[in-house]
Amino acid sequence: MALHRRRVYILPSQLGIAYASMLLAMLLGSLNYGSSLGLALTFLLTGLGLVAMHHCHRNLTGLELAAQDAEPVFAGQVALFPVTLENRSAGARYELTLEHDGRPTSPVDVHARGQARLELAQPTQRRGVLRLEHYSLSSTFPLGLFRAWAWLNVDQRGIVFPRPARPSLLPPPTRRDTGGVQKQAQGDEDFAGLRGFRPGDSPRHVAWKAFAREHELLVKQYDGTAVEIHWFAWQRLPAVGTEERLAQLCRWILDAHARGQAFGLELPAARVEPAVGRRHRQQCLTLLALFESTQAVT
Amino acid sequence: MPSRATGESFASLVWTLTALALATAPHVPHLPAWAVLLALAAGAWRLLAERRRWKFPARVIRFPLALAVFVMVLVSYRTINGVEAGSALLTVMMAMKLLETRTARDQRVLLFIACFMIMAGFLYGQSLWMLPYTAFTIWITTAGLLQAARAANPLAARRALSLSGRLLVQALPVMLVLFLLFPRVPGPFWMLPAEDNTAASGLSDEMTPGSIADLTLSDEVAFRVKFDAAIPPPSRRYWRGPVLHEYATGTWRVAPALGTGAATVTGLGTPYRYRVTLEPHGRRWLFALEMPQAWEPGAARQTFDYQLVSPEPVRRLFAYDVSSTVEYRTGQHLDSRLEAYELRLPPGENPRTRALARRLRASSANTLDYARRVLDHFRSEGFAYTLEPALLAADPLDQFLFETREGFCGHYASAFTFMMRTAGIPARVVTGYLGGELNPLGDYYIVRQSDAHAWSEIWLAGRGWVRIDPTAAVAPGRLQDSAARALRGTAARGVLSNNALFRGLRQIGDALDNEWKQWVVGYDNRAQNDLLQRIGITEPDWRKLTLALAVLLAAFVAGLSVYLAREFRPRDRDPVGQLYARFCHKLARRDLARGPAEGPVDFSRRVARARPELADPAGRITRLYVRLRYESAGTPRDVQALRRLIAAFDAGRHR
Repeated sequence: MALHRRRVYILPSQLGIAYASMLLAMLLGSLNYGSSLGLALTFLLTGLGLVAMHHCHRNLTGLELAAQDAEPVFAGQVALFPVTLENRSAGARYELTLEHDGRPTSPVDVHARGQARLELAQPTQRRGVLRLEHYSLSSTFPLGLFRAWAWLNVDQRGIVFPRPARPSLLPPPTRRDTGGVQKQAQGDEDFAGLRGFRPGDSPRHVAWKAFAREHELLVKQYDGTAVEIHWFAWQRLPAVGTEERLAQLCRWILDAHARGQAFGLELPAARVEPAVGRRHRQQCLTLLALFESTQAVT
Repeated sequence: MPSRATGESFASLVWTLTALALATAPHVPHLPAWAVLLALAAGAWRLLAERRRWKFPARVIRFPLALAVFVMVLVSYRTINGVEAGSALLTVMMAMKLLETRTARDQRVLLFIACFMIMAGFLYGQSLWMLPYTAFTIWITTAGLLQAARAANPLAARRALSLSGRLLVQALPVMLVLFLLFPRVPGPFWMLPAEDNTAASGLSDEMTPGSIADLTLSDEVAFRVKFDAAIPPPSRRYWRGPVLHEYATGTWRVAPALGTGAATVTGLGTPYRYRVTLEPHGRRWLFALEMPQAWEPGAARQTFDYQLVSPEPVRRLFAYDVSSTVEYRTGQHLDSRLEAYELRLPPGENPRTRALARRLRASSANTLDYARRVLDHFRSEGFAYTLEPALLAADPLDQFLFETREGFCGHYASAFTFMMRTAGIPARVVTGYLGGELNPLGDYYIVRQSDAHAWSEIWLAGRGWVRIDPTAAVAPGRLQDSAARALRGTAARGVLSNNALFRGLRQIGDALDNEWKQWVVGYDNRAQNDLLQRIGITEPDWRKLTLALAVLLAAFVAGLSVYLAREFRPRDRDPVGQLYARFCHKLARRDLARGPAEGPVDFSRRVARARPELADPAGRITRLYVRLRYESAGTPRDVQALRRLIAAFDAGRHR
C-alpha cells in the first residue's frame, strides 16, 4: 500500500516548539537592537523551519509498504513482524520508524528507488495467533522540528507456539517393522522414509532433493533399517491443564525433531501421521498453537 | 548518579562543536581571555569524554561551577546587560552546557545557542565582508542539526552538507519575503545600556588640541552623502557637528542646553539636497552641510547653535534627508545670556596670548579687521600645519603660539577662538568634517574620520555668526583635500592610499559596502515604506503588509509543495512500455483494443487483417517494440526511433 499525502499527519515536536520560542526571542532581540542582519537570520531560520516541515511531510508520502507475517515463535519470545518499505521516487527517505504500543524500531533510511526492511518486535505471552493491525510509520527528518506520521491498518499475523515444557524423556518409541519379512540385511532397495541427518550418515543416503526443498539434511531410510517412531498423544498425557499438556507435547516434538526421529501427533481433533522434517515439525507445532482456538492461520 | 558518555555520538558532536566554534569566533576579540579558554576547555573535554567514555560531572559539581562563572562575568563587566557582557554570558553558559551534553536533544540546544551567538555577533558589526563567513556558519549549524537528529547513525559529511544546503536555499525566499515585508516595529522595547562604549567613535563632545589629529589617523567611514543634483565645491563642504562653547586649560567642551530658543538662519542661493547615511557613533548629533535649512522633522531637530541632533543616540546606520545652503545669514539678534556665555574665559590662563590679542585688537580698525590680523599672524609668523604637533603643558595656547608654532586644525581653531573671546568678540569652536571623497561607482561622497576638522565661528554685529577657518591661513590645501593628503609626506600610509589601484579597489569595496548598508543593514521602516510605495502600495500599514506577507508565503508554500511532489513522484522507468501503451491507445480509439492476453505480434496481425492500410506502420512499430522489449535493451536512438514512429502513427479517421 502507498501512503497518500492525506494520510500523513504532521505536528511540531517538542524541539520544534522550543525552536519557535527561540525564533520569537531572536525576533524581539533583533527588533530591539534594530539589527537588520539579526532579523534576516531570524527569517532565514523561520524559512528553514517551514521548509523542514515540508520535507518532513514529503519524507513519508508516496512511500509503499508491504507487511508480511512474522516467523513463528514460542510464547515468551519476541515475534518480529517484517515490513518492507519501498521508495519508488527519485529522492531518498530518511529516518523512518515504525512504532507499535510505544515500541519504536530503530530508524532506517531508504535510498532513491530502494527498499528497506524493518522488523516490528512484539513480545509474546501466550500461544495462538498474534495479530498486528494498527501501528504507525513516522519520521522527524530532517531537523527533528516536526514529526510526520501515518497510521497503517494492516493485518499481519504470527503464530506463537506453546512455551515448551522442561526437557523430559520421550515416550517409548514404537518400532515400525519393515513389512512381513523381517530384516534381510540392510538392503538399499526399498525406500522406507526419511529421518534427520546424524553425524556419520553416508552422504549417499542424504535426500538432496528434500534438502533443496526444505533446507534440511534428511537421510533416506530403507527397509531393513529399524525406524523408531514416537507417537505423541494428547490422550495418553496425565490429565493436567490444557496448556501443560500442550507444553509437554511441544517439548517432545522439539526433542524428537532435534534427534531426527520420526514422530506422529494425536490430538483430540486432529492426527498427524509420523514423519520427519521441518515442515512436519511446523505443522505439528501449529496444531498445538491453534489448539481449541477459533483463529485461522491466514 | 552521573552517567557516562556513550561514545556513539562522536561524529555529530564534532559537527555541533564546529558550529559552536564558528559562531563564537567573531566574539573572541570582545571576550575576556578566561571565557575563551573555558569554552575551549569545555569543548575539548566533551570530545575526549565521548571518545574515552568518561563520566559526566555530577550536579554537585556542575551547579557551583555554573554559579562561579556567572559571578565571574558579573565581576568582569559589573553588569549582565549590554552586548559584551551578554555575549560573554552566552559563551560561558554554552561551555557549562557542554559539560552535560548527553543526548541528541542537548546537542540541539547547543546548536540553538549557536544561532543566538551568530545573531549576537551582528551587534558588533554587520559588515558585508562577514557575510560569507556567517553564511558558512549557518550552513554548518544546520548540518549539525541534521546530524544531531541521527546521532548514532550520522550521514556522510557531503550528504549532510548538500542536504542542509538545499534546505537553506529553499528557505531563502521566505527570508527575502519576510525581510522586505515584515512590519518593522521601531524599538527598543527594553532599556539598552545608556552609552555603549563599543558604539562610540568619531568626534567627541570635547576637544583637546591633539584629539582631532588622533581621529584623522583613522580611515573609518563617518558617513556617506548622496547629493540629489548639484554638489558644492570641496572648500564649501563644511559638515557641521558638535559646537564647543566652554574653554578650560586647553580643552573645549559642548555646552549644556542653554534654552536660548531656536536658531534662525536665512539661506542664500539654491539649496543643495542630499541624503546622509550616518554610521552608528553612539551619540545624538547628526552632520549636515553648513547651514542646514530643512530636514526630516521626525529624524532631527536643530539646537540653538545650529546643530542637528537626533532624538535617540545613533546606534544603528541612520539615513536622513537634509537640504542646506552654503551661503547663509544667521539671525541678527544675539541673546544677551548667550553673548555672555560665548565670551567666557577662565581668568589668568595664557597671559601671553591675551597680551597678543589685546595688541592686535588695539591696532585693528574693526572686528573683522582684527580677525584678519590674527589670521595674518598665523600666516606670517612661521606656523606649521602638522599631524604630530609637540605636546603642550601649562598655558597650552601660549606654548603653541610662542614656542612650538606647529599644530593641527584643533590648535588653530582653539587659539583663534580664544583670541576672539579675549578681544570681546563672541566666538565658539565648531567641530565636524571638511570635504569628502567622491566614489564614482556609486556617485556618492564618503566622509571618513580622516576628514575630521575644527573651525571657528565668530559673531559680527550686523552679519550674525560667521565661519572663520584659521587652518586655511596655514594650510590652504586642506580646503581642497583631506588632511592626510594636505600633509604630503608626513604620514607613512600616504604611499599606500595614493596608489591608484589601491584607491580603485577601495572605491569598489566601499560602493558594495554602501549598497549593502543602504539595502540590508539600513533597511528600516522608512526604507520599507519607500520600497512599498515604489511598487505601488500606497500608505502601507501593518494590515496591508500582513496580507501581502500571507499571500506571498502561501504562494511559496504551494510552490515548494509542487517542487517536492515532482521530485518525489515515482518515475516510470519503462519508456518503451509507455510508448507502446500510447500506440495501443491510438488503436483503441479506433475500435481496435488490444485484448488483455493478446501478444503484440498477434495484435499487429489482427490490426493488419482489420485495417490493411495500417499493416505496414503497425508491423514496423511492433517489430521494433518486440526487439527492444524482448531481445536487447536497445540504444536511446532506438527508443527515439520508436517514439517518432508512434508519434507519426495515424490510425485514421473514426468510421
